[in-house]
Amino acid sequence: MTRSDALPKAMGAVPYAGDLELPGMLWAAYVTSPHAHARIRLLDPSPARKVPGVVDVLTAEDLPALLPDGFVEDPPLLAAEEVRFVGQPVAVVAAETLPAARQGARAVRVEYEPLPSFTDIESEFPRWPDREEMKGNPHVTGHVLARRGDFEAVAARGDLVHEETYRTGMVAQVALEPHACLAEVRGSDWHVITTTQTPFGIREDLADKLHLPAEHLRVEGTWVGGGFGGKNEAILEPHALLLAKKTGRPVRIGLSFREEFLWARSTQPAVFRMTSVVIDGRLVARRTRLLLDTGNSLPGRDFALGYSLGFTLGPYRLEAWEVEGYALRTHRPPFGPHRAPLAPQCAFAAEGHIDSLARRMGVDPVEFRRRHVWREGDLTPFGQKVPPFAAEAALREAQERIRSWRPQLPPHHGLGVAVGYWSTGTTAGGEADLFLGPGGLTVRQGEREIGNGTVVSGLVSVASQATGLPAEHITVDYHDTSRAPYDSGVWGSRTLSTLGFAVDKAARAILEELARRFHPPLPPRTEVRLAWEGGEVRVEGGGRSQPLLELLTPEERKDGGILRRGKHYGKGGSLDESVVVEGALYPYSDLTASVHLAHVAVDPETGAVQVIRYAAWQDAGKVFDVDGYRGQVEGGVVMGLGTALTEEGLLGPDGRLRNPGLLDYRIPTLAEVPPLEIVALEGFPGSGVGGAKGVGEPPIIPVPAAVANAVADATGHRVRELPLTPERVARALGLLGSPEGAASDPGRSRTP
Amino acid sequence: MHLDEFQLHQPESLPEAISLAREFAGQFDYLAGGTDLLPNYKMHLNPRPHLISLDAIPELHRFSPDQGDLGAMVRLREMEGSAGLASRYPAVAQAAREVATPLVRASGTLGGNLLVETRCFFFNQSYFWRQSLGFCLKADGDRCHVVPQKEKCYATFSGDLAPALMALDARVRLMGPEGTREIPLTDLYPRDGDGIRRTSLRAGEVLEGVTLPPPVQGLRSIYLKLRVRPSYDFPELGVAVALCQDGGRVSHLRVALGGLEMVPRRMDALTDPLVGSQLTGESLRALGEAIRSAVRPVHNTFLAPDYRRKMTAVLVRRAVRSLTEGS
Ligand SMILES: Cc1cc2nc3c(=O)[nH]c(=O)nc-3n(C[C@H](O)[C@H](O)[C@H](O)COP(=O)(O)OP(=O)(O)OC[C@H]3O[C@@H](n4cnc5c(N)ncnc54)[C@H](O)[C@@H]3O)c2cc1C
Ligand code: SF4
Repeated sequence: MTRSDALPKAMGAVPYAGDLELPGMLWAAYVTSPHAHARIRLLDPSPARKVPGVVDVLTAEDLPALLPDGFVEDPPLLAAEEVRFVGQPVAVVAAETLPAARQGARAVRVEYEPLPSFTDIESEFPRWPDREEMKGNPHVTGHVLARRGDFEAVAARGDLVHEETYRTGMVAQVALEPHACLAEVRGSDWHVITTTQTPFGIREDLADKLHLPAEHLRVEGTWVGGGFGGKNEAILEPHALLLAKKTGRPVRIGLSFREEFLWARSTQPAVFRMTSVVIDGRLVARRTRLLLDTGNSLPGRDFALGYSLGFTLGPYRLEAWEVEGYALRTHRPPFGPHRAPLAPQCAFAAEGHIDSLARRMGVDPVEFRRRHVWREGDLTPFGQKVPPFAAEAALREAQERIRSWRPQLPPHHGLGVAVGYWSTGTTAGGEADLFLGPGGLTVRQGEREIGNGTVVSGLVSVASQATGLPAEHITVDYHDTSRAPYDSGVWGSRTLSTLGFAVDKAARAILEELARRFHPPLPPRTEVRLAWEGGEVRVEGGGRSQPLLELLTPEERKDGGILRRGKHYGKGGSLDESVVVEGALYPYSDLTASVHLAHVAVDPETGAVQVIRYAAWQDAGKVFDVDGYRGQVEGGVVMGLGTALTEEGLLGPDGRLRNPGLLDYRIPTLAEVPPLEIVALEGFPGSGVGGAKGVGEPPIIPVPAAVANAVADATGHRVRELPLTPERVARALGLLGSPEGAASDPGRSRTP
Repeated sequence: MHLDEFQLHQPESLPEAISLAREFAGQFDYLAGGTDLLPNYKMHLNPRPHLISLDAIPELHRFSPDQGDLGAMVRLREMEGSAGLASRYPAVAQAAREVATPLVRASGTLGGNLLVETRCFFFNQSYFWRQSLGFCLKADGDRCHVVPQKEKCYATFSGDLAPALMALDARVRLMGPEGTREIPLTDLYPRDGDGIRRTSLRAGEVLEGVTLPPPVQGLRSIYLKLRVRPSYDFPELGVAVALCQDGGRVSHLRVALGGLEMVPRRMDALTDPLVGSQLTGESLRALGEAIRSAVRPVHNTFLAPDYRRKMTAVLVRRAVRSLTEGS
């Protein structure tokens, strides 16, 4: 299906938040912390006020007067006494022009007294920390411990106990559109136009951060140039609103790409200590210990730890298991989700670990997975009954493909498989209105298209399939949060499967109503469909056809059509709470599997890895839009190749990012994309509309593991740290004199 | 990031350009394709109020690979697509193809590539970022964050063409207020400089063009580049080799390196002794190791110095091997 936004976007005709202007608008620029940790000794905005064009400066001192009901003090909206990461906002300058705002920002006087900073979790915790010792540790903001069975006891009688440590680094979402918003405050109407994955989520976040009643906040989504988890939180919006309030004029703020890298939300480093136990050739127990750097996130504010630990166990049957993790608050920027938050990193550890275990046992790693992987009806470690799940079928297909690829492999080439699984956010609810008039159908809801097509083609496909009306007669209409039906946002791979349900229900409500209005009446339970004929919508059923216009009530005719609202609030996820010893695990809902096969070539002298070809089997449930579906899987794989091979935020010991730009933070280009084979495995229905399962996040999950496993297959050496730069691979190969395993820490080289 | 205001001058002849240079001495930069200079200006790296564009000077665009005569304003795109260049000086055509992206190569020039600004993690940063560390020697500051001292900058020369052209004995023509001179390309990059002024170009001098000697019978050449991302990346190491063999013996051998130190560099002292000898696996390994121990990269780019040094040996061997195979 041709997306309605494709041509306007290609022509540059679609306005993004950073293109919007309001009469009398001011431009804003940030003053941010240059230190990872420092005390603010002096903050004097007065020199900035003297810069021609500067209208006002916002600092922490202004907040009490602007927000009489208070505001969230930690993290402060603007730093007052202490800064805790490079890039933390300290002041915001509003001016008549952007250059004046920037000049003003440079003129603000701030004196800092640098304090010791904590930016490398491993140097602080080189060994797995003692639980008692960690109790009073100020860096610990979260601790989760969960288990079933007695892992130690099983390990004690294991035939093989396999232990490894995996490390992952900082990755940024790199949406091609940086954050931007435009705010205006008139009386009690706090209005912000912003680029976001979740207008209602931003409203909640703002209500929380500014202590304002939600009904005073009006969040209007714009076109979004990619989110990938980076546009779920109100980051710039509070400052834009407060400056608008203070100056009485509309204010626009936008970030540069460098600012995006420095202090917008990124996924921070993690260390995974993995142990697996084998008895009689079977994997029977696994333990994961995770140290997760959550940057400057607050206690309880990061969900990553409680959500991700389950993924480190893999989709395998286990008799005993234990997961334990610490979230550590460091002087890095706050943690942010990055397409399937932390799941690619978990899969890198979990699937690298099972691969190396199978190889150590001399067993085919794919066959080994097949023996243990969940099948429908199994219980997951967290006590969830496994729904229809395509992993085993996909592994079988991967085996077949390996049989045809393997015999032709030249030297230094290898094949690697990895399984990813994911729980999509199908429990988060949403509502949608459908409005049907003689000229066509309109879907009215609160989400903007974020680039993945889930709104412009996904919801439209659902409406088209539910009603029979061709997609070209269906349009999507957006409203701000004061008028749109509630929806929880475009995140968690949920939009089509869940909000689509609401669209489907509204469509059915309209069709049922119209069926009742046929005259003479249709036989009971006759279903009607919509059609486009003679330039108008017609309703067809029971072998008859009537123009829609004739079936509308006089009021509906006056309004131009019939309106119905669909609501869908999914069932909660499931979790057997008895496994939780400490902290919180998040229940999983719909489970989807991704099985990937990578074919790589490794340069044995330089360590350079080239992906030759790639195959991805995705547990699809039901595919609504074939092109859109393929686009999501392609996008996930390509983004995953970046995580696997080239993307790495290099933070120096001083807390400053060395490569905050697109030249040195290397995302893949089209030239890096190998031939991709993409297979959607339908036939394992999910709980989304029509049996759909989310596809936004899952396809990125197995990529780094599949590539690393292929490198291990090609070379016999395993790289246990992401990304697999030529240098890391060379070190693992022993080309630099410290062969794998010999040095205590083969993969790590320090950032200057 | 935004450019500060500057005044653009577009002379139509070299004398005109040079008189503008005299007029705005110390206040200008020459502008070629701008693909290096303007991104640096955006980060407020030593911007100047005047830019003298060389684009409207016709003779700088001349391109005669068959005569070994290349004007400074020749675009990289023209070089990479030239069959004449590829057949006579393959390393140069290969290096041109390896620079940046097709879009950048459509604007980027030969002269700009030879005079490209050196690179460093502590330099290629926004004003805010550099200010937070108190700046550095190379722009606005007085110290170096890579090699702690206050005299010398160790930013890395990251142009791709220089090693290829050096390996093929290129010379450059320079024209300035004090006249015209022609020097070997190797002399454009003094090794004893402070690293801040990166070439031996005198005030106001234009790099007018490059001349290459006709390739001797049997001369072969190659350029290999090390980087993290295959599609586009500045070199973390560039190795150019030119080799001529006579009855199994080396009659001519040049190895030039870029992407490694403050300046590109030719390793004549280590390759000259091989002239007249037969290349063996052993002598090749020894050459690689000798070069490896002679180079001194610092840690101001993505890949660690020990790895880049090791790869110098690897790529030198690989380059020579690929020239000897099938010859
Ligand atoms: C994304 C990106 C990737 C890049 N990747 C690479 C890469 O892989 N390899 C690489 O080598 N380069 C790379 N570059 C740098 C640059 O694009 C090239 O080196 C290009 O050849 C520079 O040529 P230019 O004409 O644009 O130079 P300009 O930017 O116009 O000039 C560069 C410098 O040379 C001076 N100058 C230029 N011409 C003359 C002359 N005739 N006489 C006197 N002074 C002169 C200018 O004053 C300036 O100081 C990259 C740049 C970008 C933006
Ligand atoms: S090497 Fe030193 S002086 Fe040169 S750019 Fe880097 S930090 Fe600055």
